[in-house]
Amino acid sequence: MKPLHTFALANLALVACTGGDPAITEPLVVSGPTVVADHLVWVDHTTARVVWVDVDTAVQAAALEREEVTSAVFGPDRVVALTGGARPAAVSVRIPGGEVEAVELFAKFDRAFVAPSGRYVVALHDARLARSTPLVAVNHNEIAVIDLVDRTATRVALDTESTSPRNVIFSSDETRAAVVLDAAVVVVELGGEGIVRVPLKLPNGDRLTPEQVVFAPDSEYLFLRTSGTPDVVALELLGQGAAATGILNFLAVPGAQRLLDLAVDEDDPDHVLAVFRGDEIPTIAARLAADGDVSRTRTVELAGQASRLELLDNRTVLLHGSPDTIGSAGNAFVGGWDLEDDLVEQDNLAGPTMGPAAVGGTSAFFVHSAESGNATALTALALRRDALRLNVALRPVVLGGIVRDYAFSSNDERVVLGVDIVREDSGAAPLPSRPYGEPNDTTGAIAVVDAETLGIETVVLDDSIQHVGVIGDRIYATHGGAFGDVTFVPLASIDRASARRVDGVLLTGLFDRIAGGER
Amino acid sequence: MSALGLFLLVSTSSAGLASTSSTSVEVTPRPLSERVRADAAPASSTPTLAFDRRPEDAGAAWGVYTRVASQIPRGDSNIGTVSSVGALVGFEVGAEYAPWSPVDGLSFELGASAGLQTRRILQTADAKLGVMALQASAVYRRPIWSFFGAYARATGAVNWGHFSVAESQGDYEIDDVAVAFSAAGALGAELLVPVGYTAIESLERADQWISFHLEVGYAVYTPFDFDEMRRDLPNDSEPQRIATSTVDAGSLRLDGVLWRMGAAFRF
Repeated sequence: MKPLHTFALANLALVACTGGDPAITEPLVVSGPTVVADHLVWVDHTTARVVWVDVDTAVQAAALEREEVTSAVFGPDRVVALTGGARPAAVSVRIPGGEVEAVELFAKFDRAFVAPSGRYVVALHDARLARSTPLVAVNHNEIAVIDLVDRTATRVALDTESTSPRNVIFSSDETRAAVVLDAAVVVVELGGEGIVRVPLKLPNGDRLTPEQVVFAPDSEYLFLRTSGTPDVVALELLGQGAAATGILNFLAVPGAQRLLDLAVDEDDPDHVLAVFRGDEIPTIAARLAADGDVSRTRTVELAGQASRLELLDNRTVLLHGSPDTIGSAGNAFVGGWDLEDDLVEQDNLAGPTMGPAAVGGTSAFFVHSAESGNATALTALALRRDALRLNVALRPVVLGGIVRDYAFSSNDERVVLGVDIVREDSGAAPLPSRPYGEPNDTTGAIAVVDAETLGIETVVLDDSIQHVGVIGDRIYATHGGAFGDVTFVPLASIDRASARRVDGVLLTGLFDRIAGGER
Repeated sequence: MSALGLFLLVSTSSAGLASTSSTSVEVTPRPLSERVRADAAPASSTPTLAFDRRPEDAGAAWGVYTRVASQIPRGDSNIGTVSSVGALVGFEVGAEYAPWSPVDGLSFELGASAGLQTRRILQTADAKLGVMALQASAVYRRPIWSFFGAYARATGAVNWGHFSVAESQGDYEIDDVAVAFSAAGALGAELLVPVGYTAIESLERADQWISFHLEVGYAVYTPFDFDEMRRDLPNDSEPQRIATSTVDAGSLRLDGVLWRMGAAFRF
């Protein structure tokens, strides 16, 4: 028996060599997929890798070469991951080249926010996140401003009474970033030293909790929707560097009871658009002067309850009551407001909406639950303006199946929907382990609806769909596999013969993580 | 060692001859490959040392073997992705041919092996690696004592590896098959127990043996390139499946120390 013991011990001794591999010991944690530079990108936190696939289904992977990924954000041409461990860093991976660059950080951070250009990243601590490692002393009023071009990380002390950073908003010219805390906003100059700290406390001591923050297109104003007031809080930003300061204005609308949504007009940086619930009027839409000049305030009153506003390409405002998430019930009211002539048009959809509106160009699509359990009703809305009036055109469409996700293809004003349908006789391939007719045996289909003609093209896929989107001239649909299963379909040829699928994207390079020296 | 040789001699005699107990036999230590016939006169030749093989021991022999083997790859091989014991454990069966002597000199083996390892990865899926191989070996044996010998083995093999990942929640797996070639060298020791004899004049010469052996060595492999991982579904379904692309899971190298232990029957 002695050789047997020796044999077993020799084998078992190697367990220690592999036991520390996170691929074995840790659960799979993934960020994404998100479209970056016309690629679909995942960040695998567990194995510290970035994996991306192009529309031709070619998959690549790059190792972050660091451990303990705490957060990942997706820029226009790169992915940035915050890592912890002994040497905290912000590691960026360019897509599709795969070049990896790291900027050392002075502390481990929990969350990151990336500027639209991808140059700046703001990292902050988040006390709400569960930690895998014991918490050491952390100053929640400390953030890092990371410049990925100059490869620098600057420590910025927020010095507020708040302890919970919630969000970071970047101005469109990327000269400023607003760090949103639970009862304060701090505006930080990117690439400069100016800091404007704005405690959001009323004279009676009540706190205003920011719920929505938007920069004016010229970055001179910051507009806030807060929980404690129906007014739009406008922060005018003055000066730069050490002389930076701000002036706070409360932009009020008579009769407003609650502020529901904010938006800015790229062509009109001196105003902010807002929608309110009124005391007696269901909805008030307002165009408010940022500097508080009430003489330039314009309001319109709407008969239905709208909670969201969207600025369309023809400078008309779409007001609607759709919820923020798919599956939530919203309001059936829709309205249009022409900003040039204050023309207003109102209507009601066929039923309550069941998800956010898909908006693009001058059109929008609303999803309702259909009367039949296996169908979904859509309403295509077009806001057209003729010489005399604004016209809200509503056209219903009914799709077989249950809509799981949808996205607007801005290129050609088409909405792409991922729908669950019954697999049997659908045209989908059967699953060997799940014969036709089994309960809940569904598959996915993509439906593409043209906003103008309402022409519908569909293609049945081989599995249910989780998310759909558009990358260039292709539709992508992700399926339920934990390792990333995707089907691509050309917008120009929506059929099964043109579709291409790849499964297990996150398995790419699984064996090379150690052998290839990536870790 | 002589005492053990004596024990084996007596015990095997009692099994083979029922009348041994009533026969006077001069018990003399001899190589296991021969023994005195119970009904014959005592051998007159000089006692033979174990390593002192006589020409009549020579002769071709065949054999079959079965072994358990373990490939213990280097720490950077990523074998842990598929093996909870850090090794690939398998079984081997095959045949051997010794052209000159079953216990001494060169012999050749041809056989097959199969091993399977599974491991849960990312708390999400089961990774499974199966390796089957056709292997050929050349073995050179030298007896040390009558029942004990040492040998050196050189092995070449062609290996088929099947790697699959099956998600817990899903109803399919993603897999690929890769081929790798390997070469290995090993040193081992074997315990030979004669179990069959042929009568030659006054002696019975052993012509059947059971070998128990243990060896250790090192193997080098070309990498298993699992570069065409795809969902394991039939291509001939109706309607046909949407065309799928593959993903490259990378290369798995099994270079490292190996162990084998097993038994062989030679005749």
